[in-house]
Amino acid sequence: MMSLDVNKQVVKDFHQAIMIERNLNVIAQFLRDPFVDHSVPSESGSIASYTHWLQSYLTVFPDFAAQIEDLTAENDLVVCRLSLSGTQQAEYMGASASWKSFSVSGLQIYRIADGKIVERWSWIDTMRLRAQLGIVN
Amino acid sequence: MTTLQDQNKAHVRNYIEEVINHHILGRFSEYVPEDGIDYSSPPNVPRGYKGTEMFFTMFFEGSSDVHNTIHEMIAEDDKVSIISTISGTHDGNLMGLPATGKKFSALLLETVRIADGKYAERWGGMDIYGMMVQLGALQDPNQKALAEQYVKLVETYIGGVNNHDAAALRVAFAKDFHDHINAQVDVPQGVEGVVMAHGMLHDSFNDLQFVVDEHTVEGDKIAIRVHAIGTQTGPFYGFPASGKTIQWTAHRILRVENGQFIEAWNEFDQVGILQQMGIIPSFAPPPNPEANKALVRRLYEEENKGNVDIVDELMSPDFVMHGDALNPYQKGLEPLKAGALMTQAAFPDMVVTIEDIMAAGDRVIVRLRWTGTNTGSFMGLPATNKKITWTAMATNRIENGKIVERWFNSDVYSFLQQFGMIPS
Repeated sequence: MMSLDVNKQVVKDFHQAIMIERNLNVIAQFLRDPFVDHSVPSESGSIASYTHWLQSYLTVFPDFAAQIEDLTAENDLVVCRLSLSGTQQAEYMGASASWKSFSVSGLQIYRIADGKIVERWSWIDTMRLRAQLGIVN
Repeated sequence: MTTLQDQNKAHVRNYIEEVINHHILGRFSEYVPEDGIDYSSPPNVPRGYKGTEMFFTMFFEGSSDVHNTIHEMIAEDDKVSIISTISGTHDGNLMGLPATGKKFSALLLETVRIADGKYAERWGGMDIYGMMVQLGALQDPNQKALAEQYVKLVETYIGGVNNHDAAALRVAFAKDFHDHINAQVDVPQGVEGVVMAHGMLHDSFNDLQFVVDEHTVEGDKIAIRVHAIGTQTGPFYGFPASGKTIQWTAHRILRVENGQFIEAWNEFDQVGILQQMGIIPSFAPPPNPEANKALVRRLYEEENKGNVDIVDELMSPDFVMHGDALNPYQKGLEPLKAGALMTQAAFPDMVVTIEDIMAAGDRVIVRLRWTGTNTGSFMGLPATNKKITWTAMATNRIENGKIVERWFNSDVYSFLQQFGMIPS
């Protein structure tokens, strides 16, 4: 396989293990500790804090689903476009559980070195998500 | 040979740098076709360049200096993804929000499909939510989490310094980090300048340790107060190794952007370092431990005479007490006087004895014993008429002939036992 395909496979495997199978124990197989995290908000670049963030996110949206729509790569970067959905079942962004569902798009970009994610950027359509959940503050 | 991907990247770069960054509304149709689709645009916005024009008309009105800085471009087939930052000053009406004069900076991730040299499709967008939080238009329920993230980032930075770990510094500081440094060292900007500066510092003090004494987070900035300690094992500012243990204090304000420090301001006690190395003479009068001891002795002698107001003469009006359960943190002299009057009323025959006294530098340490008969009510409790005794130790800091600060621990436990408040 070309290295671009190898890098894409790392992102696919990471997505499969974490987002689909919810196997948070294997995060360290995919992420360098620490890694550079440009995402907002509140994630920070260690496996411990990333795991903690993910756990709390999955508590709010237990039915959270993420599907890869597109995957492109160049050099050491992999771009992953996602469809995201979930139902808010606990407090989120200061708003109590609404039991409303959202369905928005997201874009994640990963830098891969030696088969591991060393840097990550993440964008989610937060304004649309807030509108769908009825969060105003 | 120019590949399609190179051409597409050039299109994107031209669009961002020549049209968006020059705020030329009339040229959007050169880059976005009439039927272009932006999957993130609100439903009421028209398709194609008209929608793009509408968005940027509104954006340029809200910020006269909007600028898009490209960090990375990733091209495959007919798609280009761009990592960039949109920054500007909120000096006009932005999305219905009147000008605040605040600066903003938001991450922008987007993927575009280019057909015939134009943006046929676009996914992703900017962190509008983050921008609204920076402008104060939305509350940030994640402020606490964000503050924790900034503290973690500081831990990574300080860990990088203390463990001489350049990789940790590269995690904490952005590639294009800007240091507003006033130190007399010539290092480049960016994270590599940070790595180099701390490498030089480590060459001067190879066991250097930074300790964060305090941090404060507001908005996108964290302020830290630190002290540093290290042995000068190598040259510093061109002066040879002194082998001395040097301590100094510093303040730093660091601004976070996209999860890393993007700029920082710094003040540290450079002259203090050179004074301790013996290069520059000290400005402060040399400490006089014997005079300081006499001052502390006199304080307790006068207290034994019932002279509560002696504190005005011997202690600074800015006195700070770092006490314990019975004498909590206090500032100023009034709480001390009130406490002394309360104790006098409860124990009219109270005597304090200095059982030991030590002094060095600006510090005087005393070991004390109080003894008195509890004939008046104390803290709302009826008099026990018992003779009560308890001990304490205190560190006093003396500055310009006055006590300015005190750390205090007393045997509150046995004191309360004798009062019957804790079972013996």
